[in-house]
Amino acid sequence: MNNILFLRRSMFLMLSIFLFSCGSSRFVAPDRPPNDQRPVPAPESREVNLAGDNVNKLATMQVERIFDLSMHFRGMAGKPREAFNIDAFDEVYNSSWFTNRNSIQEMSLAEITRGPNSSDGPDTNGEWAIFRAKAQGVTPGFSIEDSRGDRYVIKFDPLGSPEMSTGAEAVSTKLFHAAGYNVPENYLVTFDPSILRLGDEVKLTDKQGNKRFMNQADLDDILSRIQKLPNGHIRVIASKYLPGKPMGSFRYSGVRKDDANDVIPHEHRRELRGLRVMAAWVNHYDTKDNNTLDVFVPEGYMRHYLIDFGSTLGSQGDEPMPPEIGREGPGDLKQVAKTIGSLGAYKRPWERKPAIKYPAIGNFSTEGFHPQKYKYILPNPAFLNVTNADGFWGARMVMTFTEGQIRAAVESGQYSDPEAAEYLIETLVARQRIVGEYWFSRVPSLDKFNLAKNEQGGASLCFSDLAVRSGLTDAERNYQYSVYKNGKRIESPNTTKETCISLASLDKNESAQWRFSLQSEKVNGTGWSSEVNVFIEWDSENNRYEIVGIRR
Amino acid sequence: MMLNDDARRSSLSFISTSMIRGTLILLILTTLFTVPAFAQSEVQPEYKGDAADSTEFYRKKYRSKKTWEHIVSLPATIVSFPLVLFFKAQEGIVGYIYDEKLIPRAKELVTSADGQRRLSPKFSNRSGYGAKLTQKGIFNPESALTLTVTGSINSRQRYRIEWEDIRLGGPVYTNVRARYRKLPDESFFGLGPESVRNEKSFFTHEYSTVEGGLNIKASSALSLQGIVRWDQNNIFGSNSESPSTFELYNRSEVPGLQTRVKVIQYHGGLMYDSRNRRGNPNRGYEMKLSGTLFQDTDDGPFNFRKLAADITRYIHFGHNRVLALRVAAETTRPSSDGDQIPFYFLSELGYRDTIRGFDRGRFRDRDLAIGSAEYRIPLWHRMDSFFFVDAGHVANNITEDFSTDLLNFGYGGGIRIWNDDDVKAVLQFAVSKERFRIYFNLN
Repeated sequence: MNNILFLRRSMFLMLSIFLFSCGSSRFVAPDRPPNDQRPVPAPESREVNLAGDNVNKLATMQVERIFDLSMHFRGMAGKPREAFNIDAFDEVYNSSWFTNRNSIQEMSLAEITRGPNSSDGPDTNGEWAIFRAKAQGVTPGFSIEDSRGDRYVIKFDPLGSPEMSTGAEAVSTKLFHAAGYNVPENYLVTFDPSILRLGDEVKLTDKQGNKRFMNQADLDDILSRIQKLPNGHIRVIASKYLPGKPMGSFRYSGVRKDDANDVIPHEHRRELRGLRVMAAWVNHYDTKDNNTLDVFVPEGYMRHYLIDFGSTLGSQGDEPMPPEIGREGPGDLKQVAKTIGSLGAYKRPWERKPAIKYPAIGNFSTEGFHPQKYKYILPNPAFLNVTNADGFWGARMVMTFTEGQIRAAVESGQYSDPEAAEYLIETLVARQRIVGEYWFSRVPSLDKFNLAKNEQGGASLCFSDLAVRSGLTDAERNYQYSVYKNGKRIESPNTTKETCISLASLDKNESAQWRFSLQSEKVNGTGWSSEVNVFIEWDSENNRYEIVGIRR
Repeated sequence: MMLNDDARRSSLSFISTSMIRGTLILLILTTLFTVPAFAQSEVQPEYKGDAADSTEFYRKKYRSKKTWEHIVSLPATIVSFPLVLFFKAQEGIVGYIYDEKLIPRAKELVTSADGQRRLSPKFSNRSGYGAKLTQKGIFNPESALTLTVTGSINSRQRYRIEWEDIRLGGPVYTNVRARYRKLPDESFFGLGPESVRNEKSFFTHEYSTVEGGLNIKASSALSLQGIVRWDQNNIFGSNSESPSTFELYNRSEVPGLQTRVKVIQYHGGLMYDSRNRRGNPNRGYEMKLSGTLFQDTDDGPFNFRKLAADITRYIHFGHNRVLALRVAAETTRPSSDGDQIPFYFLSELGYRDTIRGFDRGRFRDRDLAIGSAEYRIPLWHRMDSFFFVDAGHVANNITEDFSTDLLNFGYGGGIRIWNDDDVKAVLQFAVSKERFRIYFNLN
């Protein structure tokens, strides 16, 4: 009994010390991380060991996390480790990893449609010379050089699922590019197989894993295993070779030691943490290291790409996405126990699947979709570190897509059945809504903070409400704010429906820092969200108030 | 010095309290000294040096954990160190196997270039560990020549060569098989439904057989089978287990004991298989009706006949919840007065094809009736869990002697891994009034 009492008191004491120590009130802007696009020596190429990585993610990493007391203390104190590569306004710097696009400045529909593409794709009028092939595995493919000398990886639709895999790759490429990630130029093209010419000494790893030279029979075998159009032509994704030298995958944790520009641990990069929200939205469950690529670009630095979107939306590359994907992992003991314990009476959410409505789309629905409970192929260290701030950032990335933009992205999938395309748009919009409803019930949906002149000639702190903008709630929404001066509250919580708050109560004290602590009503109407803090200082030089920082 | 229980408890309690308090005090002190530095440590000075060493500077600045975090986590890091080390070693081993492509290489080694020849591992409780070499496509694409060799440390041996599904023309196929097995620790509990487990004895069963047969696939579901089989059985004492059956019984009590029995069998069967898929059916029937005539080739007394029926129905409750109901019966009769049935050709109850949870050969008699219900629930991709109840008994004449009082029950469950064509592995647990058993089968 005494021990329990002692234990409780000790824990309370430690937590108190921790909380007290962490209570620094004045906001200090973090230093800008160094430019990661400066020329550096080329690193060594490497491959991620898939099997070792599986053991690491499923066992070693899990044990390390369970015993990571500092992480648990941070969690208990409400001070989780925030991403490192953020500026004073909680935004990500443009880097070799990410370029701020649609979240910051709405892209035009033409920009969405063009995506990363710089041309109209491979020349389908000239010959395609095959110079590399892959016959093993469920998805055969090859690499070609077109008459212009451009090189592409060619990816097909599996037999029985026309347009599914190629459509998913085309649409997701546009969405990830608009979000800000580096993605390859993926062109959706249709070609006559008679333009294929087997190059000399094309090496091929056959079904038995033997390496040998490819012959016409191998090519015929590959072509017999893929979906063709009624006229015999083939619809493919031609993924253009990335400019530079491929250096293998990047990891979602640690840094690449031989890349001098890589200084921020990847699990603490905002764009990789926030990817969790975006990936869940488009059913990109296969977010393991192998679906990424580091390329040493001619400018002399490493650029980091997300690749291979054939297993997104309703496609799993070689078949429609199995219904359990994203909804349950293989080791979900709770679900297994429920199923066995109820003697099968309990039906797991994915088992209540509707039949696949459109083969071109595959298995993609809102059924059982939960953005935070979404299960990825492996535990991802960056995703496990997601904080509310990362979640907001990711959710904003998703929510800023307008229906028109989603439609533009889906149109680039060139689905022959307009109903199938419409279904995909509707499902993306519905899943987007679920993402918004979840995250904007946790974190305030307030964005684009700015100081504006009000009618009285004074200054106001104004913001935009993403939940309203994206139609999740109506414009008549309650906000609550408190004002602090140098950490001391000077205004009790006020409730307002306005999206501008007057700064009349602020003085022009140069050494003072004010904090506006804002909350929005939860989207589901069950109370108030967590806070977003906006830090304001008086700039005597320019004779105006200035927002110096934002923290969620 | 020996401590009495109270003293030991008190001593342990003291150690435990001290340890807990010590650890907590250490943690508090650690927190006191390190955490206040937390707020400061979040803010780092701007880099002032030249570009050459900036990488190291920034890596230190942006390292995953600050010093205070390492210190706070130290006790747990020490505790978890062996576990982390263990998994790191696993990572290394698994990574090496993957990097060196040991599995594909091994597969390549045992698979022919055209993929038609393959070597695969095999395991079952009864026959032990082994391997199966298969060559497909001799004469016709569906034919398969298989050589199976299994064995175990207690000298069980089993060799099998089978050439199946050789197409003779139209729907007519032929099968040729030769088998040899030597099982040195077979059990015998006496004859009849009321044999006692304590009277267990052991014998060695050596068995050789050669057979040829015709199979007419009348439709996708219906086929007719005719087989002529010659086999030879030797029964002798067990080397590894005691007591030997020979010590407890003699030839007059147990026909077939101490006798080399050579018989020729004429077997006819009718099979109906309407399962919707072989690996994990969720609807359809599987039925087998057969009759076999055994004739002693040495003009001995072992002339008898056996009739068997085995019916399984798969009922689908939706979402791949499947109930497999099975009933089976078997009857063995001497061909004429004075003829005998070797005890190992009698109907046998026990083991996984009959009632799980009993020793193999636990009950033997002329007739057998069993019923089984197995309920399968999908767990994951191509993986099911299942629960079962088996019941049945043997009798000298099942139609006259059948009694619910004599029924033996086995209960249990397990996990099956399957593909569209077959069940690849089964792990099952079974319990009966006599014992608990674990069964594992691969390929």
